[in-house]
Amino acid sequence: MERRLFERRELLFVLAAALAAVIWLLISRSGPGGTRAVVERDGEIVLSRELGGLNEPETVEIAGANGVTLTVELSRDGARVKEADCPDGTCRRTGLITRAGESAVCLPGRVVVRLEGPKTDRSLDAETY
Amino acid sequence: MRKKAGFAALSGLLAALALTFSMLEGMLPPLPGLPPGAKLGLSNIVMMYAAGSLGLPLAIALAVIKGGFALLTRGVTAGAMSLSGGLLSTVCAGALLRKTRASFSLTGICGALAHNAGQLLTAFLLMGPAVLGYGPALVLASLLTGALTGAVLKVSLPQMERAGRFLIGKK
Repeated sequence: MERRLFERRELLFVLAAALAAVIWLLISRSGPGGTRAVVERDGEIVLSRELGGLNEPETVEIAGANGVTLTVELSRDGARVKEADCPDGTCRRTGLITRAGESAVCLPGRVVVRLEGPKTDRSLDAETY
Repeated sequence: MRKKAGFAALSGLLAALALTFSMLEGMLPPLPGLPPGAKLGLSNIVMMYAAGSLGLPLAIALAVIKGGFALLTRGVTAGAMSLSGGLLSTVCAGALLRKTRASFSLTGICGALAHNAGQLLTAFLLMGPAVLGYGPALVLASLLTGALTGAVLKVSLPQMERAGRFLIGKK
């Protein structure tokens, strides 16, 4: 029997995959706004900045692995990779990240720019009820 | 009976074709509409033909050659990404084409999904959980690009099989 271009019964699989991706996307975008930007290189934190304390955008140069240099712009709104001299530019094309848990990743440079939300664990100085 | 020289020639042709496609894709500007990190996956067409019509061993060899080429030209990270994605998608497409009657679109889509899953897994091992944020967009892109490469495979398969028959004198 000839193989077809498309089978109608397969549509269910495609729709299920699309639905799962959309739900995944919505969940990942529904976090609280990011309050702190963290830049990691090879898993080590090289920069950590409270975004609320920035009155105007701050631009930082990050030297990544393999000679890749990233220009990261931090502002009250979030963080974005402004320029990157890697060939694919995936991190730059990720654009502005604003939510806690979002990240821009530069794979060749082994750099992660991510946002953290307000602390929810109990590392507080004091608590009242 | 397979012609050995013809088989070697066909393998070389396919390897060159797969490498050319992935190089060409690397030279294209990022496609508007596709999320960051996503590609068309043109070389998957070659891999699917190899896996479906010529057997998994050859297809796996092609995936390894492609990974090795990425390793030599673009470094360890790119090599690991290419190899993991290529192996997983080749095995997936080969299984679908040889064991099931899945349509060309579904084969392309599953190949693309497997390719991205392999790469995301490698990226996860290299960079940690931050890369998972790219997951949903890559799944959506796979549905699109996979259906496209599947359609191209359907159109080009008769020609490729004719070339294959000519070189290896089988079927």
